[in-house]
Amino acid sequence: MTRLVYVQMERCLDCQACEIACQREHQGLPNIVVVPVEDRFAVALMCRHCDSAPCVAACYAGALAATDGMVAFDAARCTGCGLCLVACPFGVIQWTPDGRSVHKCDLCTDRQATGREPVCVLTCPAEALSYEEYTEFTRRVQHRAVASVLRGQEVKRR
Amino acid sequence: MSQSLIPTICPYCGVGCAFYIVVENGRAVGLEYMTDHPVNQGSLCSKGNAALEILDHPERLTHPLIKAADRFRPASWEEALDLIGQRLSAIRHAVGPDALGFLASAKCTNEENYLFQKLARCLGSNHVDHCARLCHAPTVVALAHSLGSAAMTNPIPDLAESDCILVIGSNWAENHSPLARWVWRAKDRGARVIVVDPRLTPTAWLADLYLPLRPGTDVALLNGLMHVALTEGLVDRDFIARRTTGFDALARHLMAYPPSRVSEITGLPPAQIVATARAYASASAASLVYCMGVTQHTTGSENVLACADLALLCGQIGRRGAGLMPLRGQNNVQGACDMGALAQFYPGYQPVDAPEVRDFFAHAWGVAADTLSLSPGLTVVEMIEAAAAGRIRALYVMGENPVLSDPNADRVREALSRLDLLVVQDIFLTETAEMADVVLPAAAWAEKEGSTTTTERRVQWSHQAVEPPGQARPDTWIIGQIARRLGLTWGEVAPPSVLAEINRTVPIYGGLVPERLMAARGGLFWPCPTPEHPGTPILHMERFATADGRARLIPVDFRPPAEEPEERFPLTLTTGRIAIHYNAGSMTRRSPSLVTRAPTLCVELNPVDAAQWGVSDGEWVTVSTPRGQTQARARITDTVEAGVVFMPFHFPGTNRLTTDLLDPQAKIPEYKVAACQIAVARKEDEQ
Amino acid sequence: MKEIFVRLDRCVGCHSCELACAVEHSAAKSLFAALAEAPVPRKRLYVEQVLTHKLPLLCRHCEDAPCVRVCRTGAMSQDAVSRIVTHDPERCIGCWMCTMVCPYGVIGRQLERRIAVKCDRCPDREEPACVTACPTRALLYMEEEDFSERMRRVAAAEVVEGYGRAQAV
Repeated sequence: MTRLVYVQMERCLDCQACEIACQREHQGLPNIVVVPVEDRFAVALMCRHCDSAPCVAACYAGALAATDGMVAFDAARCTGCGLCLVACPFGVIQWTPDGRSVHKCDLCTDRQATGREPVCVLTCPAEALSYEEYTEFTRRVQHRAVASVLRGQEVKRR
Repeated sequence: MSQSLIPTICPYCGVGCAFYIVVENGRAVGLEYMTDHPVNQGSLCSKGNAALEILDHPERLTHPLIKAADRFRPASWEEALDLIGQRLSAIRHAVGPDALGFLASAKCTNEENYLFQKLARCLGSNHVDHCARLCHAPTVVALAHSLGSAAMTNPIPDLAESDCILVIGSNWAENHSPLARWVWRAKDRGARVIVVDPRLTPTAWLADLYLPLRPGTDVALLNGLMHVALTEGLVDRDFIARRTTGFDALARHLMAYPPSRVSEITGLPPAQIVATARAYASASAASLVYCMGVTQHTTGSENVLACADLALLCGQIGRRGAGLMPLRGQNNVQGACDMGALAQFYPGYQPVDAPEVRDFFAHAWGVAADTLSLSPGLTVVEMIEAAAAGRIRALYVMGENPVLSDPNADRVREALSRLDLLVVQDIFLTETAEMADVVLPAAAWAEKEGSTTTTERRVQWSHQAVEPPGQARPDTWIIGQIARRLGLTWGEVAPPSVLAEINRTVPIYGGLVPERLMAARGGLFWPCPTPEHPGTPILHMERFATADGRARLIPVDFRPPAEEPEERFPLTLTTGRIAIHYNAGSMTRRSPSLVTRAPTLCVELNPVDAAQWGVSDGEWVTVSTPRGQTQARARITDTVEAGVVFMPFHFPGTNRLTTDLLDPQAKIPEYKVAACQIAVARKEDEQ
Repeated sequence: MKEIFVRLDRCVGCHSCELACAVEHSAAKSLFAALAEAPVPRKRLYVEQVLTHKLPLLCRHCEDAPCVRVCRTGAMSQDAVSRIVTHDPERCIGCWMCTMVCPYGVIGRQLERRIAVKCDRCPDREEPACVTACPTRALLYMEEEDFSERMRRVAAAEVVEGYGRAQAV
């Protein structure tokens, strides 16, 4: 089974800690972007490591590949054509500052080798981000939904 | 190439998050999250993540500077310290100890602040104060009065146990971000979160109920909430009878605040007032979280009293999940207050005008009793006024930046320029340091050791991770050197020995002995009177810290803000912080990853006002008040109500606008309300 | 339109609905054959327990469904009349945005086929399999008006009972 970074959208408070942690961990290039919406919400966007990733399909150089439940990027093979940027539905593949290559979330692969979670997840003050199996994520949501329904029932009975 | 992980406490806000600094060959090369810390559980906000950018910063002060002919020249420590010693003693002898002013620092450790106020007092001056005066002085004054102890009553993780969290004038989502995880846990359990703020902040995003009250009308709202709780029979009669005094007078007083009247004053619908009162009063455990939106008013002390009254009336204090939570701003603002860096208190909140207290400290410090002054000193803003009037002739500033942080900044500059001697000890050449006669390079937090006290009264030891740059030195060393040159014989001033002295002189810190504190992951809560005492996470469980053990219910009346909009200045300016920057910005404006995200001063205004004054988004505007003007980039948003504009105070400019009118008891200036005008900046004015 | 309604006090947590759902969404549509299928057929509703209370959670086919809103490829779509939210595996790229925004956590993921799985209201059946399988009739498949009428009858009975008790006092 594979773990991924999941986001509980309503929890994000636009503090941008994840961006700054990510850029510190990735030579100054943040792979996660917090997008504020109408000064009422903020959405943390990063590579979703899609199962049938459009960027992988678009990459003719083989720089992007779906492996072990993630979309891995090999900078050495990147030709800088930018097709992946066009293909990505979330705009989370970005040019490097020199415009010759791209950067994207690698789920902090280096850290995982020593059993440490991705920095965006560890740093999120609101616990909006989690690194887990999807079943763990949905179970938590289900549990909260049921608890909330039952609280409604309790109020009625009281 | 061996790496080591050194645990440290974040140098920014009062939450006291811990993390590890990865040290390699004596340099800080990385940051690692401490997931087992009881408060932040590994998480850090934007500023914490950028903290290491300060350590190796190219602009760090690396040697003492002496000003000659309006230019700084590098100097040796000997020369700089000798000069300070001579000039301070000369002024003390010529004019008297009352000509010496001292600004301590909420950014420095307990040991440093303790030594700093000890220096001031041993020289015969009680003019020692610090920026707590500008943030939570009303909390110190008012809670001491009503509860007997001026601090947050419960630990932060207790929020998860609350069924209702009432937030007044606190934007913790941006300023104390790790609270978010505890508030969300409460919400997952079904807790109601109510946010009262003139601005729709990210904190208000997660509110179940959001009350956008008019700036400066907090007392009216709080009285209204109590009125509803009382008339609907939701107050805790048993608690009131057992643990408080003054109920009858308060109850009579509250009759003047029915929701209809409160609604007129605050601009909130009566239904919101009633719903808030019911949710708070009827919760099985409720927390009241407040911050600068309550304190930074000319009615700051009254605002805090009203908060305490509400909590007491509803019995929402002294239990798990039920407490009064003033969130302190700086990493050690609680500690600096505890250590007596306040004009009216010796360490441990012991009043300076009590002869027996004076005698105790004279004995403890080995000085003649008549050396120590019995009259309370001048506070931050009063010291600046006294400098302007020529009564304060020398000012020693440790890690503060009053040119940016104090109100009416143009006047501050003028006052400082009149001083005979200005000594500034800091890690960067701040706007205040630029005006100094002597600048002393200090060590940053990770370059020294010592204890700090979080907003929750959690005292934590911070270890040294790296060496200071160049000739920069820890503040304890610098203060010790100056003391020696002024004829004070202190002996050892290393942080552990200073803490040992604190154990002896500050009863609430009595049991926080160095070895115990260094070993305690997650720190210990004061009061902790003996080395065997486990510490006190929750205050007031059995009795209040007053003489009779009961809390005082004190009626307060609504008074409008000191400055109201008028024809020439038709808008209300309110100030605050944003997630990316910290206070006067000396550190965050120098952190590349932070300042690139928020590079300029901005002013938020409502689309209605923008249309009226012809301002478009992103345009430079001039904001003016009766005291001065400044330029800022317009940010048009409906998160502020029409008629209200908001500016963060992290950049030079904002505090040229704010008023230096003070709360008469706590002496805090009204940063949150000023009458202002905006106009599109003329081309030549643009920055 | 007919909806699946849950009577909160009736679920005993027997998981019959989950089993029936997985079988209905197998190729063979029989329990024993389904067990041998690869990938193993997946259920689309979940009986969740909080303290001692149990409750089946299934797609509510929300009005203006968040999962449909966030889908960047059009794989998730909603019938304008029936409000049924259906999922087109051909268009799904497996980005799991729908999973993250669902307020009930009922959009699952079939890793082997790299697609999202969710309730489709059993298009091949007269009555959804979970409803048929529920032994306590905690799940009901009926028109909204019929369900609310049923609730009104219960409420009225409670009023009469309460009123009677008040009279007795």
